[in-house]
Amino acid sequence: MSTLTLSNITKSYPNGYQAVHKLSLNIEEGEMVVLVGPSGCGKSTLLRMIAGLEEITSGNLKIDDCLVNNLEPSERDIAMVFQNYALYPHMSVYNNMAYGLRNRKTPKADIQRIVNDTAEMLEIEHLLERKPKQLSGGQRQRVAMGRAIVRKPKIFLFDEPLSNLDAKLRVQMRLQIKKLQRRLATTSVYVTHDQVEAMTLADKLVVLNQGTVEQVGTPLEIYDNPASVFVATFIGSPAMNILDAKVTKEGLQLGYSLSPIDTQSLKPGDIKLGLRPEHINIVEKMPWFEVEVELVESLGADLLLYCKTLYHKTMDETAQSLVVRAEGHSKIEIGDILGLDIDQKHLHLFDADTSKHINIDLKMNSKRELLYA
Amino acid sequence: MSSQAVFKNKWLPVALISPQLLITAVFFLWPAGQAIFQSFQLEDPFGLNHEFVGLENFIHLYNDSNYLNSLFTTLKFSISVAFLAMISALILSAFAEHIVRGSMFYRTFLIWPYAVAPLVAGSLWLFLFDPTIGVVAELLQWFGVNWNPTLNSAHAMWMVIITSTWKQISYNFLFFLAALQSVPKSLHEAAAIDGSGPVKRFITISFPLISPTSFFLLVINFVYAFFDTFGIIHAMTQGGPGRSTSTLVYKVYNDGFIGLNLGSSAAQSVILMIMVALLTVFQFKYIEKKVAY
Repeated sequence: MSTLTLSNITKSYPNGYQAVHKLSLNIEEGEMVVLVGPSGCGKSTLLRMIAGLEEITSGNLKIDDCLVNNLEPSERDIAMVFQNYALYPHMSVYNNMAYGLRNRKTPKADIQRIVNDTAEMLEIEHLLERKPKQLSGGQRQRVAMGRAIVRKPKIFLFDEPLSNLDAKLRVQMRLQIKKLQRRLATTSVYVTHDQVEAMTLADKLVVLNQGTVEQVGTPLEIYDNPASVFVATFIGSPAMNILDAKVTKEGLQLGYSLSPIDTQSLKPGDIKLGLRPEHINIVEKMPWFEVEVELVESLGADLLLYCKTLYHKTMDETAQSLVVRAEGHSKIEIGDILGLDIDQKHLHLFDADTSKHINIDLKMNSKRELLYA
Repeated sequence: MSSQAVFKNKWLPVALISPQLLITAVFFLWPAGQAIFQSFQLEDPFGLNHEFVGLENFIHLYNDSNYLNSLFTTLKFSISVAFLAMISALILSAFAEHIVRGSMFYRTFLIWPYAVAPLVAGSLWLFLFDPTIGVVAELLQWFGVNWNPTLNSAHAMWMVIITSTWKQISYNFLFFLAALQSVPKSLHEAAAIDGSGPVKRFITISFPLISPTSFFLLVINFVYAFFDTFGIIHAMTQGGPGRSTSTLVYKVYNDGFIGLNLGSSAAQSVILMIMVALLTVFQFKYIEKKVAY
């Protein structure tokens, strides 16, 4: 049980490229923190700096209030699960798991007990004599986990450990990692680019973009209140629709459609609207705006409708595309015109220039009924 | 699916491989056949008469203490050369792997000795080891060694061992470097996290993983020390002093072309041929499979 504190961590390379920029983060005891972001956002670099595999250019890294910037990886008491598992190919599963313990001069009898117990927990006790080459992807993954667990480290580090597995196995292993982490209650940092993995595993989710933290919070907090357009489009599947609109005195103007929302607290001009596909309602009467269906994807339970907004050619507008999630058996076909609306509590507003979230309570304009009368 | 090409005209493949077959026939099959034929003959020094003597040449060798001494010398020489050349190359490549700046320079210069002809290498080191004008000899004398390879057989042996080793390090270096670089970096990182230092990582991770290369080089180095060091020995010691640096290959030359005992010389080369054949079989059988892990 340990805490991990990052303050103003920076990583820059000799060629001037900054992979991580002044990043600060507190990780509490026993917490599962997931670092998520697109490739090149610095999440793996950050993890490797925590592990001690990359030098920290500036900033402080503390494990339990002890500065570890200049400690060797072995002295930090961490364990890491690699993307390609990095199992020692010439050693049996048993020796792979025992390697770290032997290096720490653990007595032989203890090693045997610990490795056997861990193998039993991971259901790999029948594989102990095999070489990594003779194992399936999922089994290798579990051995890699086992190798990390046996040492009882202060912190677990996971570097995209599931990305080499097929989809079905990935879901299984995801659950197993979650259960294991709950059971061992070891502080963990998990890196992934898969937002589903991130949402399901995290106690605390950290969204990274270009070497800086975009937002920190529980998965639901981030889903419900994305701090920026980047976070909004990154978390959630399919991604949140971002539409350009205008703030006028009467309400929010999307194309030629006006939403009768009280806009007194907003400054007039351009604005970005965020609408999650699952929050958009298809309405028969009094729609906010209308779209034409361009493509229909059936996922069984749901139907994804790829639409474009209708607009007046004369008004110097362009069509905007968006995705709408509908009930799986809806009778909707390509070319249909749909009327859409959204509950204002699910409508997100973002500043057109900074792309940051605008936090205000949206109220319906009392004139709404009049407008449609 | 077979990757082999199929020719419609059956003379084309024959024409294509015939130059190689011709070279093999002229430079290997014919002389090898001659050697086998000669090994059963007793011939006078002028080549005027010869008679069939059966296995007598081989029986003589079996009872000849000089031949057994030469075999012992060869083993001593080959094991030393193979061991020294491999260890030095392994250490150099382990360092070279971590060099970022100037690595091209470092590698290029390490590879150069391989391009030097054995006779040239022999002459070069003979100068360095010369008791009167040699730099290395000067250094050894400064350390109090009464260096004299022309009289002291141990000194002569060390001289040819060091020269032969020097020439072979480059070759081993290339293979070891390639092998070390193919060990995934993440294994080193995992081992570092597992609490193992650089030296321990090299011993427990890198070394076992490059064992196929090491095994291949072991065979290659033995073949080199056995058969390809004639030029060096000839340039430096001519097998002397006494017969202390006369390896089996050098003895074949010495008995045949200096002593003009063609029958015995031929019998010796037949024995060497069998040795090469055995080494080749050994190599194909075990190395092609790779040392398993």
